[in-house]
Amino acid sequence: MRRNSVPTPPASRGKGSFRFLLTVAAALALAACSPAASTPTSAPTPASTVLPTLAPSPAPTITLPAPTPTATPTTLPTTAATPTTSAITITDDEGTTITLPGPPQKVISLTPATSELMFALGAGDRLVGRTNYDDYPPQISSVPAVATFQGVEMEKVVNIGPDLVLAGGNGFTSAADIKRMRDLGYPVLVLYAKDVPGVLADIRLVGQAVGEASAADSIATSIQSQIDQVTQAVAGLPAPRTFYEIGDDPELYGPAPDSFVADMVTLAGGDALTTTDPSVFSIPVERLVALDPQVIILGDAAYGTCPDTVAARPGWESITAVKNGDIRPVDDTIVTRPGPRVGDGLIALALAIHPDAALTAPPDAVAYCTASPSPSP
Amino acid sequence: MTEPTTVPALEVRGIRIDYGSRGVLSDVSFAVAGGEAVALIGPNGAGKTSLLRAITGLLRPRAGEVLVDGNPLASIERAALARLVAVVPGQTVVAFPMRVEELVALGRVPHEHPLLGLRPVDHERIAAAMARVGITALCDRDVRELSLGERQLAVLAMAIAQDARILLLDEPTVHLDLRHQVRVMELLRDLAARDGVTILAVLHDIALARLFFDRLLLLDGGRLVADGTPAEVLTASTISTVYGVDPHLVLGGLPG
Amino acid sequence: MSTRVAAAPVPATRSGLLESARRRPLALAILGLVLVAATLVLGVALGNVSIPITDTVAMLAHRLLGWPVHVTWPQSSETIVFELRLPRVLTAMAVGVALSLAGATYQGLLRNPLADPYVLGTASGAALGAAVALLIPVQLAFLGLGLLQVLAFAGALGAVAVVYRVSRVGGQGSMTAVLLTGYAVGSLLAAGLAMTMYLSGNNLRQIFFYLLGSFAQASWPQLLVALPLICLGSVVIVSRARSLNAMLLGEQTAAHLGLDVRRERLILLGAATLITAASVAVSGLIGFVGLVVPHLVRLVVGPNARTLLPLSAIYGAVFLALADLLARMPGELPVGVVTAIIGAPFFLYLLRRYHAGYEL
Repeated sequence: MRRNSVPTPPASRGKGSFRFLLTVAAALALAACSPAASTPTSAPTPASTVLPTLAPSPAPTITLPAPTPTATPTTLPTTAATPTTSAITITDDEGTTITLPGPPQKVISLTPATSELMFALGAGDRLVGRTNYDDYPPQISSVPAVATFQGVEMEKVVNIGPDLVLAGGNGFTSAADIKRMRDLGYPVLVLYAKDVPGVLADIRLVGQAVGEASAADSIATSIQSQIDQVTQAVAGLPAPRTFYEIGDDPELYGPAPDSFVADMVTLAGGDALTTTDPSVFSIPVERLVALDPQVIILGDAAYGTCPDTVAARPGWESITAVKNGDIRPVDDTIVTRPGPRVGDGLIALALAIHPDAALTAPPDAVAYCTASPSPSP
Repeated sequence: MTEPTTVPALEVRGIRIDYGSRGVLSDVSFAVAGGEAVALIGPNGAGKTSLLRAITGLLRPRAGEVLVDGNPLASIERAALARLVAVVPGQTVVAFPMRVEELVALGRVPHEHPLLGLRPVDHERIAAAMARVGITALCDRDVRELSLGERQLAVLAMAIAQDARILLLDEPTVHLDLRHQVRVMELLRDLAARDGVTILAVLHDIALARLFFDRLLLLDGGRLVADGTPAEVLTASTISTVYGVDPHLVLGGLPG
Repeated sequence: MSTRVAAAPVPATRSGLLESARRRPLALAILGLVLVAATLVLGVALGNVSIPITDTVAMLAHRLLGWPVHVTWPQSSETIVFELRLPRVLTAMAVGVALSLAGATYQGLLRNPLADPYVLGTASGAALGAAVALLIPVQLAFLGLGLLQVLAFAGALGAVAVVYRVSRVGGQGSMTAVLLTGYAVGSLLAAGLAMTMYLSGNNLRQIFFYLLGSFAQASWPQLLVALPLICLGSVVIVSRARSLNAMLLGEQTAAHLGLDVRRERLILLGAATLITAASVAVSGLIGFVGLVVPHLVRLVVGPNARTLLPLSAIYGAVFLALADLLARMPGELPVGVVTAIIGAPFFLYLLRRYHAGYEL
């Protein structure tokens, strides 16, 4: 069966949406009437990489305000699929609903967090594409890279022919690339967590999408217990003004208000200092000095920024954290990555903010800047 | 004896031009017969260029009209006018490398087919024009490498290639050396005499005008103050009045 | 005393090859078309994923020419060739045609060898439109185009309209006045762009990619919208070669040669701006093509618009399609960088070899 390559003229887009809704309705009906025995999932053959439910019309175009995704952070995503039927219907963090005929066998992950998650869910063998800056777990290096910082390499994606693509929201994966993949007929789930509960919801969402809902549930539950542990450990401790430094070149970068990183800092027992606007990630030094953080956490320690370098920055001497030597590095990949190790990250962050808290440092966390002990002025 | 009344090739009636409130030309009238060669002279600021622009249609006069072959200028369509009247500018600026032949070929624009371009007859006329002017040997040279004199000859060839019966020239001998000045003047006389082309040339050099033209129009302060042979127009009193110089400088003899 | 106006050193005599090339514009055109076909095949044969050339040719023959060929390739290859590569190459060619023709037209209208399609503020207007689109939190899907394309298009047209209008204040606007006004308006728009970029924060990256120009997002819907505009404008320009020729010695001479200068100026400006705006809307700002291709063609065949325009279009298509091919081979380089790297040295060489002086 050859896919019609001529794009559908605008007039039929409306019909496409209608047909799509019919398909979803049919899937729901099927789900309700199917027998209890699970149907075997069939791997798509190379010649038909496009799902029949979505061809030939492209995915319906969404006309929504773009920057604020309609996330459902604290409630479980609605689902119509029961574990025994193969059809999976999910709604992503931007409100787009897709339906998969069964657990996907060829998944492309376009964020480091979802790549880690695939392995954590035990579905690492079904990961067939990643970004070239995914770095965990070590075995991920054998998965071919299909995206760089410049964007998604569309030819490689088509060549692989995925049956599910996991993308990052809020511009992490460019909207144009997401649209292109959907136009080509690939189901794309866009994930964006504004806060820590949102990360847990996304973990469950992905677990459901790949057919590993129970594995996802246990990951989420264990992370939740780590969160509870941290919450208990910092309860009663005064929350210092905390600046989490994400980067310093060419400008100073910190968490935006209402962002996941800000939420992490708050949960870790810090009073998060943020930029002025959810879409702004840079913070002028003057503003930082005025905010006067009591603790500075170096998320860019992996790139060589260590406490003594920070203490030596001109104009920073007046900052309380610098005066008291409360500048501490963390392994940013576990703190800022909204993936399965976020619980470890939260513990590491809490220990960086409250070194005397009753917590055990996560064993896998990389320790930076240990070669040069920070001298207190 | 009755003179046959022929329509003058070019006629100007009561032309008045103002730039804003400043008067530039007032009540200028004259007629040029077919095949006649006339030089328009006068000091700087007399209005010669404005008059020329009015005749070519670039400037609309406040009053009066211009007639080409008896027809009002305003009634002649621009493309048709280009086939009747050719204009030789005094200076040309060429922005891109261009061969002489290509420059001369521009003269065929009013005649060529809009889409197909130059046809054999056009090529023939281009070659003829270059031969007439005597620049056939230069045809492949880049225009910008020529001397000013040679360039002016090329522009003249362009105007000739236009096959117009009326040729208007705006100070065609500025910057030219004597040899080329004479060459251009002789060509103009030849075109009028042999081919019956009507010529009206704005000249700044009265000596040249006097030598090569049988009829002069003297413009001063926007008015036509004299119209006739050089002897009639360039009298000692007009020279000193209009030009403010010792007439002997023009008429010969050492200043007394 | 005879004085020289142009201080040009005596150039090298043109080589025999170049001379015979000049005399045979038709041969050059045919060669160009052959190169277009070859570039098309090359463009769809090469990419990030290697597809055997035999498969590619067979696919093309099968789909485009209708030959009965046994299908031996996977569906994904066909999708890559026909959904990703083919629209991309065709878009690059269309934009190459548009920018080359627009550049030749602006150079002829303004009689300025340094003119390119963006000289009247098109670039700044389009960039500002794009930046504003990224600032507005509304998504639009209209015939496969997003808000960005629509506003970039509007910005480009709007900028030139403003320039034309403003330059005519005070009577007849000479083309020099238009050029200078274009400079001024362009600067103003660039300031507006800087402000918008400052306000946009996160979307800065997207604006940069747009400013650098790229065919990475080329798709059939976009091409099918841009192509009619580019075709319309191109046909208008090429059919008005005579007007451009008449303008070679200036607008006064053009009027004396029978041209309705104001009307022709408006039509040519409008058409050139239309195709530039369409190009900028689909591919961002790609520099150098509109400046270099007409010059290169002119150096070979001379300024006669009847040969200059069609050949500029053909070779512009080849040039940009090849540049895009080079841009996507190693990674995704901005195609504007590639056009500059190829175009500049070659152009400099030809200038030194044949002509050094340009008088304005």
